[in-house]
Amino acid sequence: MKQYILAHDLGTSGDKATLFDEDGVLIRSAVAAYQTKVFNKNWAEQHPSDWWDAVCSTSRDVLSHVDRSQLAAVSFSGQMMACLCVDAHGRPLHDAIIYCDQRSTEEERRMIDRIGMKEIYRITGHRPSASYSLAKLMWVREHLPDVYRSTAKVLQAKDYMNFMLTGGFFTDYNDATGTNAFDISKRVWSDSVLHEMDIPAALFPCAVPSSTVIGRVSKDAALATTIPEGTPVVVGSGDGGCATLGAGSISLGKPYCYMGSSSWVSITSDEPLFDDAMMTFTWAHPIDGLYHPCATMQTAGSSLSWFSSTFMHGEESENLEQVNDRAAHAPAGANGLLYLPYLLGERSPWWNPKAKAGFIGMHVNTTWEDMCRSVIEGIAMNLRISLEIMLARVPDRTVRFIGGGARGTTLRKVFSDVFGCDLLIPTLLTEATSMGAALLGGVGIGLYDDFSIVEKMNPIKEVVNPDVSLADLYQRKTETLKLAYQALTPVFDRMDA
Amino acid sequence: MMAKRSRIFERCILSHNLGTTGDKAVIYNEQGHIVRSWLAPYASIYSNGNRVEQDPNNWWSAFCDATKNVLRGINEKSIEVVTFSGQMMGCLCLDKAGEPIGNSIIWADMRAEREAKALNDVIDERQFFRITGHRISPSYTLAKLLWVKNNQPDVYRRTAKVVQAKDYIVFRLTGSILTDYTDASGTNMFNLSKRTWSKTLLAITGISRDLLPDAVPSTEIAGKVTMDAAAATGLLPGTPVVIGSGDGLSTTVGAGCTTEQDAYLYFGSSSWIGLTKREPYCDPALRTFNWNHIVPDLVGPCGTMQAAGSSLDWMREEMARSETAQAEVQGCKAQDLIDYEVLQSPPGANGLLFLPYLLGERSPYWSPSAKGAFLGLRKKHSRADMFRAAVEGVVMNLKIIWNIFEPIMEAEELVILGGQASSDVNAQLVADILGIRVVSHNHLRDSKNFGAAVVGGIGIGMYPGLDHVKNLLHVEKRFEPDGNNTRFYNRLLPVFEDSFTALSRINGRLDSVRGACGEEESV
Repeated sequence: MKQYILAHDLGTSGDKATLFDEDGVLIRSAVAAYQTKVFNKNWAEQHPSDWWDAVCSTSRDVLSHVDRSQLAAVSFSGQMMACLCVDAHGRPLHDAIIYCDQRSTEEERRMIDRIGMKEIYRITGHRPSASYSLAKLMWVREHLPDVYRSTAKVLQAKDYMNFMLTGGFFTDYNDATGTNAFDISKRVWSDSVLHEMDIPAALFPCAVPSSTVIGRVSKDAALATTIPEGTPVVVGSGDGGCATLGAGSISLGKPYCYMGSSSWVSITSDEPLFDDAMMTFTWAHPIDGLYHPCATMQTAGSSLSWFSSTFMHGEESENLEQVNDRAAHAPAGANGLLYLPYLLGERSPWWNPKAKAGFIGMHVNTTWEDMCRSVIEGIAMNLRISLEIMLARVPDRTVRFIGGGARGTTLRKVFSDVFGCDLLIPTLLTEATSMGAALLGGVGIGLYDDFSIVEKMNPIKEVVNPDVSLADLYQRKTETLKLAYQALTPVFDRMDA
Repeated sequence: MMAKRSRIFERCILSHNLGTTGDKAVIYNEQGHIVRSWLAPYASIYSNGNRVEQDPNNWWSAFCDATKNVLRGINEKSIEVVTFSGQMMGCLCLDKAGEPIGNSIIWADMRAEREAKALNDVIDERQFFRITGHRISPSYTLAKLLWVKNNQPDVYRRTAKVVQAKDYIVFRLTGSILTDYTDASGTNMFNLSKRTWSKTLLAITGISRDLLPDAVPSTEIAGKVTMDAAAATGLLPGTPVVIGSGDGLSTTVGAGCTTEQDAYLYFGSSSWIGLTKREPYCDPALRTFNWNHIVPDLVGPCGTMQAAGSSLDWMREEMARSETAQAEVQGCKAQDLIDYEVLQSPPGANGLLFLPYLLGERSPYWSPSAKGAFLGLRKKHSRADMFRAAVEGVVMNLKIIWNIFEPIMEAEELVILGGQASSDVNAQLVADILGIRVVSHNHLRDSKNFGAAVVGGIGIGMYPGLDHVKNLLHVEKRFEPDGNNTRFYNRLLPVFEDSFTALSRINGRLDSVRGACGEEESV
């Protein structure tokens, strides 16, 4: 009799439920959307009850097509870095302040003043930032003292779903490293950070390895979701961690690049990566004992979407195909045209919210085709700056390439040439996060022997080799991108004034 | 004899403008009204990234073609004079028989950077500026001629005369090899105040005085149409030919810029701000320059940017392909559709800057490796912002030039002309950014031909003098500056200037990452 794993991916725009069988074959999936409330310029919140409603409806949907008694486990991938305050009964006291909310810059500054940028980076694996849970929680303490006083636990999206299913408060190591409050090396809540910020460690849930079975589906939850009562629930991990698994980065090295609206490069390692310029940051890997150093840029796919929707009139997918097609008609190097991909400021490698995008080096012979190519090159070169830091630590010269943005043929070629690496393209590009959650579920209950089943679930379909004759060109152009960014930094500041 | 002819026919002037893209012939009547016009295009030959040449035989065939066509239906006896405006700063080598030795290296060609640098080493640039009214630059004839000397010694040895475009056509028409003061002042070899070829510079460079044609006032009659030329062009043999001027100065006349209280802005492919003064203007940083004038004891201080309309044309061709397609469907001009978009974006284009250095730059930076850029892009920016930023960038660069002239500026309004000036949106932006009332005249689009016609008319005594041009011009449109906008752009200008400075070292590096086939590719 077949056994199934139900994997939920709680993203920014909705929940996607996917059913995998014991061989890792994708059986069925369903999506339910929810809203983000964006207000006060850079505040962003979601209703936790919307998450739950979405999980109920997608669960019902996918389970209605199979024999539910064959469901072996439920597991989660979820958006990270949020702050959801719940009381001792698990009742939300406020809407969840999600990752992209930037209201707590004052708290970020206080963390830097009190503990220091480098110190927090060393302890948590991340720079102190308004993006993470701790600064958001400090904001709540400052501005919503009633909420703070009643808060028993601070949860991530998937943790709240796990609570709704099982009644237990847990998080996993991976999501814990997105709070700015977790000691990444010791894998415990950081005494020194929390003490200095005067936040009790008890506010954070018990952190466990991502494949841990944390409980079973309760009667109430079974009614709401149609998941059979008693089904084991595996804690799962943050979506970055799940993508790492789905990309097949399950042992040391194995670099991969995820290309969505934003984009990151990451590897698997046995210790956190601390680079001097703090360009990269590190998550606990969903495989216990490992880490995945990471570098995320803000506008990768969204640079391409902006560019194509600004200048073209077709459907987005057609436009992107056009951009790829036109870019192929321009020479490598785009005739000296350089695109800086900082449409929303930048995280890695620069960590500068005031950074801005631009086209540099135009001359009368610059063509539309050069512009198309330069956008792709600019994204790839910006990722390369961070990737170089990681590749310096591993022997690998292949990069797995996943995400919806990994489809364009010219884009793949350019990424391979700019990285100077073979690109490994798996069969499924956009299902990696769900697959990662399913892997955690399956391994967690012993249905899968180990994580290597990912190679069967998502085999490499295509290898793109770099053109070695372009190595020197892209080396110099990447250097020029760095210098251009640095030269323009003071100008970016003044443009805001 | 001239008077006899004019009794029978309307008195007309045939004015030719030998531009960069073609020869435009316009027949004017005595009142300055256009009777007929004809444009005969010719090609530029681009190579090696920065070389631009034209075949002088194409100039001559275009000239014949345009003349024959413009004369159709017109009695050739009514043409009392043929006169010229021409592209400047070229280098065409003629042999003893007056035959071209190869192509002309035209103004846009930047191959002679090394020669310009070498000149800078042997003469103080300020002294050079005091003599010629110009800084040393590969744009001018001198550096180009030295390039020929260094790289094509055979050509140089056979060269008997070095001439400008209009001079060559005048030679083919009349048999006399001459140039005029204005074109001579675009060679980097001419003494601006003495109006003679500079002995100092010729001595330093070892160029023989014999290579240079005698220079005469622009209104001088160079000769008469020969029998051969008459056969080739359809003109009457014996028709007087006035040498005319370089196009920078024909524009000055066409703008009615005849007194120290006048100023104009030419907004075409390139763009410049021009004045008429008694004394040359020496900007301490040598960012602007001086031409000799139509009236010999005047000079024309000027600051020229390379890619004004060219920047906007580039943008239309590469970034506004859908507007171009739509314009065809709607039967309107793409420019009109772009103008609407420009108006959708507020002053400052929502924080977006455009650097208009698509052809390197002359004034104010004199940097051949300068490049264009869009800076400050954010996700919120639309194409309207990009289009607006492009026009603003061009005009802000002109504002830098405008500010340089501040110490000698006496004008209370600015005459605008050239192809890009026919857009009201562009004209209003000029008024707002420069902070001065802008006016346009009835000869906005044909200013070079019109200016040359006036010069020709003076040459044959049809017009009493330069001031007469004002009787032939009248204001058609006025654009008042919006004080708030002017203050806003004044605040933006330093950021605009600093962003160029920030990128000045990056731009050189970008030449080295053009890509494998970048070098061989050319338009």
